[in-house]
Amino acid sequence: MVERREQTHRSEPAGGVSAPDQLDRLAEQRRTLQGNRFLRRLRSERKAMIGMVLLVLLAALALVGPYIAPYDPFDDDFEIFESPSLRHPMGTDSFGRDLLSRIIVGTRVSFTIGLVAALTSMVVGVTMGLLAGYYGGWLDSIIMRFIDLLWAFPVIILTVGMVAVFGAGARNVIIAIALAYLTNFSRIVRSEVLSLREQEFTTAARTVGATDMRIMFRHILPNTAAPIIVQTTFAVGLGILAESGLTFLGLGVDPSTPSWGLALNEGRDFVRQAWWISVFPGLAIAFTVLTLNLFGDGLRDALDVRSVNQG
Amino acid sequence: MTQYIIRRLIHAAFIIWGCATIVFFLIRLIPGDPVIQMLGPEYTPEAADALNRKLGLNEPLYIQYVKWFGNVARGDLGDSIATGETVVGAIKTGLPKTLSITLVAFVIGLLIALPAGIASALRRNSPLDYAASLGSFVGVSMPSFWLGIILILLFAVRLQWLPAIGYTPMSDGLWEWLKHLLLPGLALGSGYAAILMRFIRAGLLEVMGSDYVRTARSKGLGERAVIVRHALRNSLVPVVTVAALQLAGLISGAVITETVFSIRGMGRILVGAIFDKDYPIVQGVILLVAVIFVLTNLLVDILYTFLDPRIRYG
Repeated sequence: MVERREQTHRSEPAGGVSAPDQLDRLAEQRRTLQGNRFLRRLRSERKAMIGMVLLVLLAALALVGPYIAPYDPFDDDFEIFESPSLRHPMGTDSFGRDLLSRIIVGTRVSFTIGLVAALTSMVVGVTMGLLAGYYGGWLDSIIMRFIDLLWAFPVIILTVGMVAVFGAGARNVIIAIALAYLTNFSRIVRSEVLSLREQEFTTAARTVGATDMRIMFRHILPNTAAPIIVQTTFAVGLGILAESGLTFLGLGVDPSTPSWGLALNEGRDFVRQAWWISVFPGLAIAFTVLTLNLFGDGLRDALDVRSVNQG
Repeated sequence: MTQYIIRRLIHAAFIIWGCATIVFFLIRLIPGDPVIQMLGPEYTPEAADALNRKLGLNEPLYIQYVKWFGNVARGDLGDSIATGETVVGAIKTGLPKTLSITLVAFVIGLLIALPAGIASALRRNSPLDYAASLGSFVGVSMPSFWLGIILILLFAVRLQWLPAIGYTPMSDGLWEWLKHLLLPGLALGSGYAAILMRFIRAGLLEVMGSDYVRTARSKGLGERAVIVRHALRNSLVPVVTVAALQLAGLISGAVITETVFSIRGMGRILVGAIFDKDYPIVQGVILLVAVIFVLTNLLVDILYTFLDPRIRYG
């Protein structure tokens, strides 16, 4: 601690480092301290830790799924509607394919779509919120009216409508989900920025001649990280739910993809003959989303974020 | 207050205009020629020409826009391409079903959330609280359509207590109507209950720790009177907002639930129209749901100012 303070002191008269650079460095040091405190709190949050462990396992499954699945998920040489047994722990589907293998491989599909949609939503939403909050004025008005408009469409209607126009398929599903959850990010970030831009460290950065971009991305943005991280975690779960819902309606990913929503769609028609086709894919979705929600909730407590709600 | 309401009304009008504009462009954003898409295998140049004229797609864009708004304002949303009936007519057959599911889901949601939320706040950190909290986590994580399938499996296929699919109008008897809606309502309402329960619990806990509850206790009021007369009443104000806001979400959630239970409400109509490329229906349903959503939110905001006398908007 003492050493660090000396370092910043010494660099001042040296003259080689510009004032904005020094401020950046100070901000980074403060964040390292905050980061360490957060990690300590995270370790004591049981929900977050359970969620994290399960999440790592699921992510590993998404990565290596195709290599550890007992059968080829496209192999339809088995008996159709075989009930769960040692050979097929989750039974076989209406095409005679091993359901366990399809669910394992489907992990990657769901995770990829949920994650890419959430990250896209985050990047675009955060940038919009940042610009709106920082610059205010007409830019703020335009961005926020657009957000208001997007918000007027319920998520399901917005995604269904988008897919209706641009067609089904993974890429369009991702765009639709990302667009639907954009509003959450923009609104959260904007309200944070509104208070952060009035704070002393922003004024200090501006006084020493830091550019707007530098202030926004190096001073303000890192301070909004906590609610963004929490919201992203929830958004991945919501994205997985939205993808499975769209695919269930027949408006999602390509019918040849081994996806959980698709398995449910097929299972619904055979619920009387083969309960397992409906039960297991749904369990996989519920378990994954539950894991993400647990982790997100624990993170929220550890980061002490109060303003972020699910949904 | 009046000023606030007027401002909110103008805002809502702007949003509805924006929604209508987006919906107007929806059909025009379709990659390629929308008419070729809609006609599919039945495409002939003559049919395309007729459809173009019927939808007004052959006119300049600004004329199409003005005409479309004129029609929408008069309540004319065009005709279905697949069946020829009016879009308003199609919506009229679907809307009561969707609203029925929403209503039953809303009531079921409240019936679960209120007692669970209150009990878990009053018995904080008890096994009951933990169970309710876990239940709420599971509730928000389950896809409602999957829960629907599980309920069908359990109550319709195994126990045969309730019908699996279909809808009966209320005019055929209240029980007949409700019988078909209990499972869809439960499927849709449980996620709603899960969210609501958390707000009720959090709201009540916050109020229970406040000064006036301590005052009420210290003047010798019984615990029951403290909770019912003082704590609960105040903690429920924000809950009403959440309940109403989520209600709008329920209406759109019904879209998927209807598919599970084969009820031909707005959602089924919408999804069917997407497959048939029946864009006038798609436009009409999306616009209607967005308008319902905006109006519900507007009502909630206004209602809120009446419920909580502390809130005064300038």
